[in-house]
Amino acid sequence: MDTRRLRSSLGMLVFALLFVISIFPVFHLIAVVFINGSSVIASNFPGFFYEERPLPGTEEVGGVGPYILGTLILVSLATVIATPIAIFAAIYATQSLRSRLGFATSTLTRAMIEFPTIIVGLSVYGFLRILDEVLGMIGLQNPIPRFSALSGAIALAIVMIPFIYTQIEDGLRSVPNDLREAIYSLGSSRIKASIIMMRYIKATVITALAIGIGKALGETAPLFFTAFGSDLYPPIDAGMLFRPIGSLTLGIYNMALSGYDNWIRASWGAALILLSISITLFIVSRILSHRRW
Amino acid sequence: MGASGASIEIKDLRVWFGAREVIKGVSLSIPRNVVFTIMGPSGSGKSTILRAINRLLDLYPEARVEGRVIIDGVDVYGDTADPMAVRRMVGMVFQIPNPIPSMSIYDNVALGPRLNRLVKSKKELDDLVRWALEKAYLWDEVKDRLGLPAGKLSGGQQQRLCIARALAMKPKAILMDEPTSNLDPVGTARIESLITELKEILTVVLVTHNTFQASRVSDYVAFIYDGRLIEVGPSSKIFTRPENELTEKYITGRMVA
Amino acid sequence: MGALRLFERSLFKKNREYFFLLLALANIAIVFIVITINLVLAGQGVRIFIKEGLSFITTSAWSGVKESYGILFALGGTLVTGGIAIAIAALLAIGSAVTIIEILPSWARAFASTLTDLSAAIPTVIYGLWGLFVLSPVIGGLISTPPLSLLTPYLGSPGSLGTSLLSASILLSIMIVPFSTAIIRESLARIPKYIDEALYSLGLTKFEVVMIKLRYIRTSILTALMISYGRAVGETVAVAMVIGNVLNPDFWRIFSPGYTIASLIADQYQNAEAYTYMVPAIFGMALILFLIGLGINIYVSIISRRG
Repeated sequence: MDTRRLRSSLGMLVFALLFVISIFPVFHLIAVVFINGSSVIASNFPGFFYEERPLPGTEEVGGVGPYILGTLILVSLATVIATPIAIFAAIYATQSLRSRLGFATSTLTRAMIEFPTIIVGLSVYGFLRILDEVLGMIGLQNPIPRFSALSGAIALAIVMIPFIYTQIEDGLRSVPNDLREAIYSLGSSRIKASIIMMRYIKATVITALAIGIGKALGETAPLFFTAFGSDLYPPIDAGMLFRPIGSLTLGIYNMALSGYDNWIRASWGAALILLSISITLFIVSRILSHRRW
Repeated sequence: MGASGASIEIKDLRVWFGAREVIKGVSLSIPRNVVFTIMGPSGSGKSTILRAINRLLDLYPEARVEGRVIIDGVDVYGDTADPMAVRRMVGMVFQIPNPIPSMSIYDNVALGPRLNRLVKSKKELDDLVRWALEKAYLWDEVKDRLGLPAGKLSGGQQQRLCIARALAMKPKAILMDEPTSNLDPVGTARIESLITELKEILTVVLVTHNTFQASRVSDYVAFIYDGRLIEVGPSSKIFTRPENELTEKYITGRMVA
Repeated sequence: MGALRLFERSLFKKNREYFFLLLALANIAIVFIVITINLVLAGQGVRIFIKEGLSFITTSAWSGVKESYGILFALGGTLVTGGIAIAIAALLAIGSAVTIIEILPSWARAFASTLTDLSAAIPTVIYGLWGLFVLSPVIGGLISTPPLSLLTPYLGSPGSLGTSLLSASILLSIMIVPFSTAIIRESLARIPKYIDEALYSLGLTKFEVVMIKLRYIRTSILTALMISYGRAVGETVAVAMVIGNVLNPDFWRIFSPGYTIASLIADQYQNAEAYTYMVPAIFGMALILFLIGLGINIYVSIISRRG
């Protein structure tokens, strides 16, 4: 009888141990990024935030200014593209009862979340190439170059849409039925009712945006074949969005694999900046998702 | 079979859920080999008393128990008591028939004996499973499909399977928490006749809010109201000459539960 | 179709629903995006199969200069790393889910679920950075010293910084554990209390009860692991950073560096357009990734309907 009890305690101990092993890496990772990153940033403060990448193999860590700017441009643009699509689609899907189109978006967005993001980037790239050929045949020029900030933003937007969409759809579906009935019984049109309900789930909308932006911010793979990357500040002009652009993630990736000591150090600094923004957005979404007002 | 059941002694039992006291000092003396019914309106604390007997309240972190429960001389809440040993000695049947739906009929019954190593051979286990299913009046209905998932049985059959599962442990007492409240009249009738048979081999503690059921099957009845024991005695007396006004109101159906 | 019908109906009803119906354009955009992704992948990916035939997936050759593309090594690397990752993740995730539901007090559960979500919010490139400079060297050290180094003749030896298929697998497992844990944890928590009561009432120990409950939710566990496998297969940058990026035809030699399909795509992005057939080859790989994901999704929806 006692061996059974012993076996039970041992078994539960093993489970607890597995738990400790599985949460340890996350803490370790965050700690290492903060320790390595902060010493790098401190060694060239505040220049690290606005200077360009230094010459390879020197002692300089330089800065990651162009990457920060690139991420800022890409993510803002992607948010501008993705937000209306995701929100409008979620409203239509929840307020048009029994619509097949609504059902289709609901199903497809859930599938999109599981698409490997490298595939999203490649598809945008492939689509723009086809557009090049097709438009070329009738003597027109494709307005969106395949290696450009614009195409990168489109890829990021496609990554963001399902995350924003599903959050808002779930939020709208969780609006209590009596409230829904009250709104409609006042004779409001569906568009008006939707606006009232969106106001009711304000916290969910902001959470959805925080999650979507957080996702876009941390993506690397969809940018390979679209934004392509650039290590210098883009000239600020009308053509800015039509040229390749860098990002924090692409910068970290390329510098980490470069083999140059000073670039690797710069990648830790960039990682700290990226991680700080991600964690901030995460905390924002956490606080808001537990709150309604 | 004679007196193979256990006697159960409950002394000044008090149970809190968080800050709320739900059992406010109940003492009961349950003789061996009888059907002892704890009766009362829903929310009166009957089920809590039942779960105090086999220490199932341990599963509820917010529950706190005071008082003593003594089963055949074993102090259930004593320092050396082993809740697992107590539960092996006292079987339990629940309000919702709860076999493991994906497990086969056979495995559901064999689960306890197997893990508690009550049998030495496959043959012995087969015999025990058959014995338990026969005792639960289920054998004839399932003997050809013991490998069927338990979830495929009807509600009444599932409940008898749960009784067989408890019996397979060869317990000295069985606790039944509203065992028929989710069954149709036919299923209920079968369980009730089963209950009266079972007291031959063990002690039955039955919880019900149904006074008719209580009068049909019980030897003794305790009436619980708002966590307190109102009246207890032989079934014949309680249902014909209740001493307390509340009891009378309840058994004549004038109390709104 | 539904939109069209609605549109007609509202035209006749002369109400103010036009604006609302305009919203459907967003839904159409989403459907368009998904269809386009499918068409582009299929249309572009098929070209490499026309050129290389089945040898695209049955040989190990990758040379832009020779214009010869066979991705068996990357396909094998994908399946091997995903498989090892999922085996490790299964253990860790089950252990974590049980700990959170059965051992930790309820206030710590909320903390654990926050931690899970936080792990998902960390950019994969940062996992890659940590994997390359922290995790890989440790694993490289382990597999270069006895007793594990005795396996070198069979399993190979790591590249610089310890990069290897094994490092990639372990990093992947770390990345997918939170997600698998969350699914298993939720289905464990959904088991009705009366099942617990039934099991404990039989005098079982906690461990025995837990094992029966785990068997009870085995479909959800399988689902969680399958979806996680899909994520592991599609993960790109983190893997590309620690796997070593070496054409390793013996992809089962997990102590050596190698490639996965996704990491090969990432590694080639800067020179893909320099060769005639490299872009089609890359689309061919993306198509395969997509099909693996599709297969997993179909399989998952079948088992979860049956279970």
